[in-house]
Amino acid sequence: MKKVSKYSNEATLVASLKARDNEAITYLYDNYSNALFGVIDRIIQSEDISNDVLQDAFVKIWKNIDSYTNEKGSLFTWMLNICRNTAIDETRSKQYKKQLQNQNIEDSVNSVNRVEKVEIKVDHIGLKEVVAKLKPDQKLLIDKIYFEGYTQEEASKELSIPLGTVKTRIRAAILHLREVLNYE
Amino acid sequence: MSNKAYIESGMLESYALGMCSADEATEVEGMCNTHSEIKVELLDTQEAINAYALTQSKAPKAETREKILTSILLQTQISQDEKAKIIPLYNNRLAVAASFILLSLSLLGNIFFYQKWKSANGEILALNSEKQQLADNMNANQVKYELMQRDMSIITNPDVVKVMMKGLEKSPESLAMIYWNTKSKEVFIELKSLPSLDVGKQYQLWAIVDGKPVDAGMIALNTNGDTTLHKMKEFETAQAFAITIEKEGGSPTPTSEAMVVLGGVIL
Repeated sequence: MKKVSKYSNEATLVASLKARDNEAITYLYDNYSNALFGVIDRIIQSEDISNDVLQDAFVKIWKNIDSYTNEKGSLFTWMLNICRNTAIDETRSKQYKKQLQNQNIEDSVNSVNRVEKVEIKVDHIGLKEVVAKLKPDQKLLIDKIYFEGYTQEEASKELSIPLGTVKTRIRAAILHLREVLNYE
Repeated sequence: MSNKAYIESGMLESYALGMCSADEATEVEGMCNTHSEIKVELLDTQEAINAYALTQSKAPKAETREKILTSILLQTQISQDEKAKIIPLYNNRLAVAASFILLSLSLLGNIFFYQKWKSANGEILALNSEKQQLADNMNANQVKYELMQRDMSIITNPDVVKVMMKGLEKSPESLAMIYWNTKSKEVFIELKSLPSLDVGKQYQLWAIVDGKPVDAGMIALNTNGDTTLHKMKEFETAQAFAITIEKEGGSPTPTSEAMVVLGGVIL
């Protein structure tokens, strides 16, 4: 039977991280790196750069752990936001745009394998069905905002939705997501 | 605004998706702190988004784990070292080496600037002495010029009688001039050419007044090359002037066989 780590209590994990406990950082990596890397790679779309960005994000998490409080949400939420922001910032850098051009051909060869890998993971977690239950236009809206860092104005333009209804659409999409999650 | 209305405004979703401005984020956090219902709603929203994010879950490269953990371990070490305020200097070889390098650089800098300062100082001293030299020269020229002007005004004065004292057979090349202002009675001598004297000897000027030689003053020693006028004793009348070689300090009566030059006054 798998031994239950003392770090599975989030408060203990956070306190240990703030105390610069190396074991806690290892635990953090082993338990969260896949989830965090998935978001980064979804945004970056280039494996080499994504691995670098994951490193940057982990260093940021470690450096800023003192500023984390559970008032703004869970540790996972906080870490996801750091990863997401780091990755979106990266996509806006000139370096990234240049690198991506060079890697386009190579990546397209590997893309089939990558998709398979993701699906295995998603199946395991049992979320694939959940996402499948989102309407395509809702999914697109959330993807644009969450994975591509669109502002409401940009989303409104890109998806041809009036600016005033962007917020309500988003809310509807997330409500739908919550509904199906609860149902699961 | 009621909790329900706030929840339905879509603000919580915006916050959870990271679309809020800084002001809006502060507002949401404030609302969550004061309204537990809103806080629960936000947590549920975040969880839904987290679940959505999890659908992307994917393993990074195997070597990334080592890279990240090592890099964080290293940074922990560095930051702990920084926190340890008291670091024994002898334990910190890098710091010692760095301070030696800095000290050496500083010393080299000092030497360099000292040399520069020294050479600049030398230059200033040289320029100063040159300037002094020029000033001295100018002063000397000024003095000479003023003397020449004075001499010129003496010579060109219409009341002045010029007497040329020519060399006698003992030294025919000798020559001296007397400028005698008959009104002010002043007598000036200009030594054109007189032979150099033995030690202990000195030239003495005489005025011949009514046939008798009267002492007109000693001529200063070391007048070689001196072209300026020298003031002698004053005379109201004189028929001639003469110079004799006497013992240093002069004689009450002239030694006539030692007479060098003589010139009569032509009024």
